[in-house]
Amino acid sequence: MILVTVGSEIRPFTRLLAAMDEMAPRLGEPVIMQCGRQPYTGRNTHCLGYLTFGRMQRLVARCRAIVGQGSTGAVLMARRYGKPLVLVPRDPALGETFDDHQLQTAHAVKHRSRMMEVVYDIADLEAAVRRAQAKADAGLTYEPDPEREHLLAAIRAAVEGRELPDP
Amino acid sequence: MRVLCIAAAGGHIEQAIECLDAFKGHEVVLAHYDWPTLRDLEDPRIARRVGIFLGGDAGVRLLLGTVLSVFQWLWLLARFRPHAIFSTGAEIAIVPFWLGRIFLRARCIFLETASRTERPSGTGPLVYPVCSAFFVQSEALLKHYGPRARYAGRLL
Repeated sequence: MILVTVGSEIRPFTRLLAAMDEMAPRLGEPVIMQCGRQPYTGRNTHCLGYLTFGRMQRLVARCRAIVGQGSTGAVLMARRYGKPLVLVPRDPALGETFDDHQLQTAHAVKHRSRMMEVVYDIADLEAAVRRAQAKADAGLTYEPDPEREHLLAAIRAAVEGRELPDP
Repeated sequence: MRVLCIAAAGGHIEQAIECLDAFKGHEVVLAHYDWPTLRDLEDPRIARRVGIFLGGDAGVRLLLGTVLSVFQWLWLLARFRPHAIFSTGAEIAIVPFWLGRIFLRARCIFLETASRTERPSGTGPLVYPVCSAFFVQSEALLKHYGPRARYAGRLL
């Protein structure tokens, strides 16, 4: 199963939902879309509105790959459950969000793991989804990230009032 | 030690969940907006969850909700008396950071959200003055803050 998520943003992200719905019959597995506040009825996909935190985590655990808006939440959930991720950042120029924070996120993470790929042009999406499926087939996982461990150690030291570790 | 961990919804709360390992051995209370989608959030690292009143997403309703939430934060801080207050943003952190610093002298630690890699968030500059530690997740942000800002790694 491929999980598509557009988060809780009030602005529509029809560009992503329509593209996933159109390609779904060719992907060879079910596509479930979390559509948030957007009333969207897919012909080839199963659309869900708001999902609770727990239900979302269970869906992520079950899916084989994630196609998500360019949010930190999508990246962290994909990493947490070891799922290949295709990020499609919302574009403020198209009225999909209020500023360029998703473009900033996507730009920052696009080369950080073999498990993540960023798509800016929706015409490139199907090929990226197929590569994500291939990564799931191959059983690839995320690489260990020492930057994350160092940040957590620094936060712990700050919370406990200790000297921060060297960068 | 008691840690009050504060996060708005979406990526903010996902980042807060990622940071829970940093509080191992401490009692953690997680405070977030009282959204229906967060009511089934469970994690064995969290001792207690508190839903914070939210009047609206923007404009006058957000302002009114923030004013009303001051009383809820005062109750929460008085009851829990945290030694440290940690947040991954966003604006939900502003009131408790100032109240906690002024009335409890709590250590306030802010983690600028990972989605801000080039320019600061709206919340960061408003909580920076009361932070004992302020972490950014992109070195490009350091020039926007003072000497207490620090890049120590990133979650993404």
